[in-house]
Amino acid sequence: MPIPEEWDLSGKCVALTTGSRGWAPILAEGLAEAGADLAIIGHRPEVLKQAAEAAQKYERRVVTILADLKERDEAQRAIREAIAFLGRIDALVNDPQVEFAKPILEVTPEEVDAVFSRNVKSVLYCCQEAGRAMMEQGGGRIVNLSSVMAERGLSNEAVYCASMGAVEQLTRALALEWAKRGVTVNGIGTAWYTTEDISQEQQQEDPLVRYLPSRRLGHPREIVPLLALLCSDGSSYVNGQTIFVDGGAMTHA
Amino acid sequence: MLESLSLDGRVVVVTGGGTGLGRAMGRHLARAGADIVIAGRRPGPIEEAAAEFAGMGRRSLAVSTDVTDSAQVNALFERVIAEIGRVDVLVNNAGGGGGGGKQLWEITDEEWRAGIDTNLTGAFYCSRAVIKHMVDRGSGRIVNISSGQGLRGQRGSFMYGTAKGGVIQLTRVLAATYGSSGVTSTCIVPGMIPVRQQADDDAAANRRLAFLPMGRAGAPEEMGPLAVFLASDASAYMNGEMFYCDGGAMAGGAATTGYAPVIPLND
Repeated sequence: MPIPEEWDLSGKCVALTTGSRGWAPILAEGLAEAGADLAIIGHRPEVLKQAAEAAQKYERRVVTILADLKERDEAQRAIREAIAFLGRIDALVNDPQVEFAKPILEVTPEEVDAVFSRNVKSVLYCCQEAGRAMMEQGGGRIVNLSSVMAERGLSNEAVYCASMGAVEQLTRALALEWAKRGVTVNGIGTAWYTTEDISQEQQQEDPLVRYLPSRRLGHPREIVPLLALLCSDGSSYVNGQTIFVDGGAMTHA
Repeated sequence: MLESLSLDGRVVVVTGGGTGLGRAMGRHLARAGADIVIAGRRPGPIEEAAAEFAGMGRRSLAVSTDVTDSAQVNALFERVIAEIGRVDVLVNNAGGGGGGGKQLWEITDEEWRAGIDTNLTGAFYCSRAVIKHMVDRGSGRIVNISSGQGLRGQRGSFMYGTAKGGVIQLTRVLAATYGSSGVTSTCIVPGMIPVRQQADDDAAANRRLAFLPMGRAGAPEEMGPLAVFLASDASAYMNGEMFYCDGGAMAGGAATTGYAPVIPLND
């Protein structure tokens, strides 16, 4: 079956911001499969390289832009370079996040700044610059990746939880601020994921997995169809929501 | 990664599928490859829908059903399983009668029961009738249609709001109970999506629309891609969750189009 037309990103120009976790190649490949031309942005050269290689499989236009997005000037430069290369920006996908867990009493000011700079400020600055361009174009889509930790607490993850909550609230507030200007802002919240191929049987050794309604961990490829939908014309009345793809984690008592 | 969106050969039952949101979702599901069973009270619209989907090259079947009558609901699924062999997806869409108008003390026992039956009990009857079939096969999708009124209080929306809130909880409990059996349950939460065309000069309606974040109501067709996504394997790791289709209404507070005046930073 051909991809349903709503998911077709052929000719769409998408900027993907990345961090240090290993999801960028999967997300880049998925967006390219859906038809998008891509600008892949981030501060880790090896992540950019892997993501670009994964996307090139589909023979789209792909550029990588090295930039440390937690600095506003860098975020601005990166988004402008992306637009210069692509010609326009139809969608921005933000996944610059870094994970972090430590008992709160041992957390240092440097760690607080690092997590908030990476997880919150870089998303905010990229939204600012891309949103401005999208409104000039007449519209666009922004998708911010966050986590179930935006809405649930977890021991030793207070700083990370607070940063994800900030991203979810940023998503809601920007959605309202730009709704009449044709820019929608949504999020995808993920939970217990792995990029390793561990058999479902082996996963059961972890009590957490046995507690999940899915009885298995998620894989980042499982958010690709939703990500494509949220970047496409098919999500025209979806706005301001972080949609959780969590194997039922949030639902469980 | 996108081939998982195909519904080729899937059998989808849409309740209330003859008109409105159900009809629009059915059209998108059929376009994605599904065979569609349309259940609804009135034979006219469901037969029309069946003809439309058959015209798209899909197998389709109209079964006249009142979802508030459990005997009719059981007969619906017995017939589908006998004639087509299985049910992959149930879309619990039948419902209606939102808004209010009556004071609480004016609502009769019969009106309360009718509102709850139409908007909640029907989804329970349908889920109950099909769940064992899905669990036995180790796969299935239940997609419930709730409403923004199920999450926020709308003045006077006693039966509809209570029932639609119940639909969200039904979704979560189904998810927690049957997720490990391969059956997932999710919920679309539409905002203001009128099913009838409204006259351009309806001043009161236009004032209401200005209060929506996007400055416009949604169209039934905008529900379609969400229904396809939730009915397909592409949503396999989503369970118990809501997917809003409301243009941003749930993201804001009482007046979602409001804005703060500029407040200079004075730290």
